Amino acid sequence: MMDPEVKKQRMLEKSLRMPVNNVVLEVQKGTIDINDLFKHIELKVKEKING
Amino acid sequence: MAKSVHANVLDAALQYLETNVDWIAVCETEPTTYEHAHSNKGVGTGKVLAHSITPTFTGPVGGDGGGTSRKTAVDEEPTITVDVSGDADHIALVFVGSTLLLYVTTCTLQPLVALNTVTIPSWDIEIGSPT
Repeated sequence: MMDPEVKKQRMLEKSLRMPVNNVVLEVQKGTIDINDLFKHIELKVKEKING
Repeated sequence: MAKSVHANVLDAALQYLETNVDWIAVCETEPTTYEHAHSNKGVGTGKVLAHSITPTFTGPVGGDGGGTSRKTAVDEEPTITVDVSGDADHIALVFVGSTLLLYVTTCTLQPLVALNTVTIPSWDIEIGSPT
């Protein structure tokens, strides 16, 4: 959770902005897949076991 | 072989972002370095068209992917003044205090004009559970 005091201050600053020919972006969600990390760990363990 | 991770582990990663991101930038082309995401286009290797120093987050909460997946929402960043005209296609989260580029995502390409404003709607960062 974000620090509530910092968030409150930043939200206030955001609310004071004025739009000028405003463009709204379409942002793609960011997904982090940690499967690759687990596969890497598995490989390293196997390497260690097999010498 | 089954794999698992406790939600606390993923929350720690998301919490790192929530605690440290102090700059959100709209970029033209992919930023891969701190300078790309912190300097305006036309200055050195900068790619920034617009930026805000008021990024906020809501979360973390359970992710859409089920299991122990977790996500946090990067809150809407409304009406940021465009500093440099260009084609916006990436959003970067930066930790200026440590000169680190922490996270980059894409957005549908949109032309921006200097001195107009741009809004980054709320979007999610999710870390999936291992399968």
